[in-house]
Amino acid sequence: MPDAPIGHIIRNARQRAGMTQTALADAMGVSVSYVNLVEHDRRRLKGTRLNDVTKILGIDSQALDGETEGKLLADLEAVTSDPSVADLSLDRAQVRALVTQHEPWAKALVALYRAGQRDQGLIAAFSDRLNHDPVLSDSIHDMLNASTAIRSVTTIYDEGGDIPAAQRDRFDRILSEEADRLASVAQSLAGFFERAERPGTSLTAPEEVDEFLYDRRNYFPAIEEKMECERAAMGDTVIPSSGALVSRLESLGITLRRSPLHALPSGTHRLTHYDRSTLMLGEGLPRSTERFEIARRIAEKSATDIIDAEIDSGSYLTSDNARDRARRALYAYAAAALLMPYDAFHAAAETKRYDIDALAMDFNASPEQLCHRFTSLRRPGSEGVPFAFLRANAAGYLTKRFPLPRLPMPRFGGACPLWAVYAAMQTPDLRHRQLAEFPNGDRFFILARATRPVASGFGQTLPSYSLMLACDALNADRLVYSDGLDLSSAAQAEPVGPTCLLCPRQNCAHRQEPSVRAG
Amino acid sequence: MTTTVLIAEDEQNIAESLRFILERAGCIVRHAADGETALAEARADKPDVLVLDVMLPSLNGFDVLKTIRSEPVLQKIAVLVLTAKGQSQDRQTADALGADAFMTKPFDNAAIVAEVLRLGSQT
Repeated sequence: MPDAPIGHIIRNARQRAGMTQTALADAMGVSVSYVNLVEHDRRRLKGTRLNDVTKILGIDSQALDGETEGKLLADLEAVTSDPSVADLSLDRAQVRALVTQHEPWAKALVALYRAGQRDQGLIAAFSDRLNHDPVLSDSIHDMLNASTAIRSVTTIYDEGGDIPAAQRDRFDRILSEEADRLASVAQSLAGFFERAERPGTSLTAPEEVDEFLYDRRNYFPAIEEKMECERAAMGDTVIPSSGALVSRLESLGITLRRSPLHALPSGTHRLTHYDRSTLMLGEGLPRSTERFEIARRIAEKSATDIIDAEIDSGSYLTSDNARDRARRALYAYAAAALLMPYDAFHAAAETKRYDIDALAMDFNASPEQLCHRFTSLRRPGSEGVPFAFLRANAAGYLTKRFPLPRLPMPRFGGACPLWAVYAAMQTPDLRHRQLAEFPNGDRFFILARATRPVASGFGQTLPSYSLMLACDALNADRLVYSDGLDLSSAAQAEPVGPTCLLCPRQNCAHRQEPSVRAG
Repeated sequence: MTTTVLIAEDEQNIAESLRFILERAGCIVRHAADGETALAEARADKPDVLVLDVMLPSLNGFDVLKTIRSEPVLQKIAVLVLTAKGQSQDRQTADALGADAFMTKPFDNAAIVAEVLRLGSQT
């Protein structure tokens, strides 16, 4: 499969270190031509040679994992696929060169493209508002009527002729009244636009949070450390007991109560209610959900400073909406860190080969909580399998997403209908596994499972979701779910795509809209 | 022959200026400030021309026009639809309902007088 370009990083680091290719080759114990191929991304460094290079050149191993470059490539793919530049016949081969040779320019291009997309959304929102807002509509109607009366009367005056005194007085009064009316409308409009908020801001908040989490690789060491201290204070057990969680909650001034779902103040479509001094849990909730809610509230009370500092450092988070979303995501992260301590969870995941059912029993956690936690196993030196994660609702809309560099995920709406995340909805509780091949030849192992809809009473069906994990096919043998599957490069893989718009498989029977990509 | 005109307009000041310019042009003018009154006046007096605003209280201009076109005794009334919206959809609606002419606010005095006289001469 094509790899993210990292040769330029090695070349730059070598030049900074004042080494020739020959010197580096000697230090690595390889030929000069091999070093040259590596620096031009025609050979991929792995294993000990990768470690050798990082040590010799004194660079962080994460700098060579290609994630940043891979993400940039995927972002530029979106730019080059945009219909607005379709006529330019952009050479996609040059995109790679742009990333390796002019990375700041590539980032600038992506940033400008996103700004353009945001502004388009803003314009559409304002246009919609101008066309449909009742305040504007009434104001315009008043303005046109006032100007009609003024224009008509002034024309009568301009034309001269005999106008009886009483009628002239009446016309003078009309001009005065309508002038006042126009002034009033103008003031009203000025106030309206001063109050108007930027309606497009909320459209980009989830995207900003995605970028923030991705930029940090969904790993926050300060939060891990803080929640490790919390866990240690609760007792000796690696995984906090439910009793210890409740005791800690109460010590933080929060009372725990249980209530029938329909009696929760937050309504029948929520499972819990929290008002800062009382946490109400709906009766019949899974134990994993109860534990997670308690852990989340503990995090809110004990890790606020650390999480606020993380939010403040997130340069992607430009709006209040995005910061609030990111804050909620990090409280959930902290809850997971408390319930599934990093070292223990990482060791168990590797030992049990990411067996969700086995880990669910070990950690009293739900499949969704486990999937989330898998994506945060990115501590340098003890990394887990790099996963992409998706959650789709019953309408097929992607409600959570965490991408991988070579596995782009649509920001809005749905993905390729051939992804296992959708097939899983048809047979809840079954695990769907899929060796998927994308149009560019990339292969991913996909695991999906949908939860069965749960009703807590008549008319009180709780939301159900389909969850999907995906990893590079090269890592699939680390998962118990790949057992029995042929993962070799010669194995038959299911052809899938990203979205119809970006997929070049023109003859696909599942196509819903034309592609902007040539076949 | 003198043209009789009914102005259906809830904006009192516009109605007054319209009345003035049309009377100065020799028309006999009456005024109704809402849709139901306009329909009653049309049935009672059968004017040659109805200058009909769209945004009328009680019964909007399009409803008035629809009723007029559905009653045989009112069929001869020429209707000039006047709107402050000026949207193409209003024009299409007016055409579909059988309006004889369409003007947007703010109108030109000379143009609206000429149009009313033209319509009056055809009845």
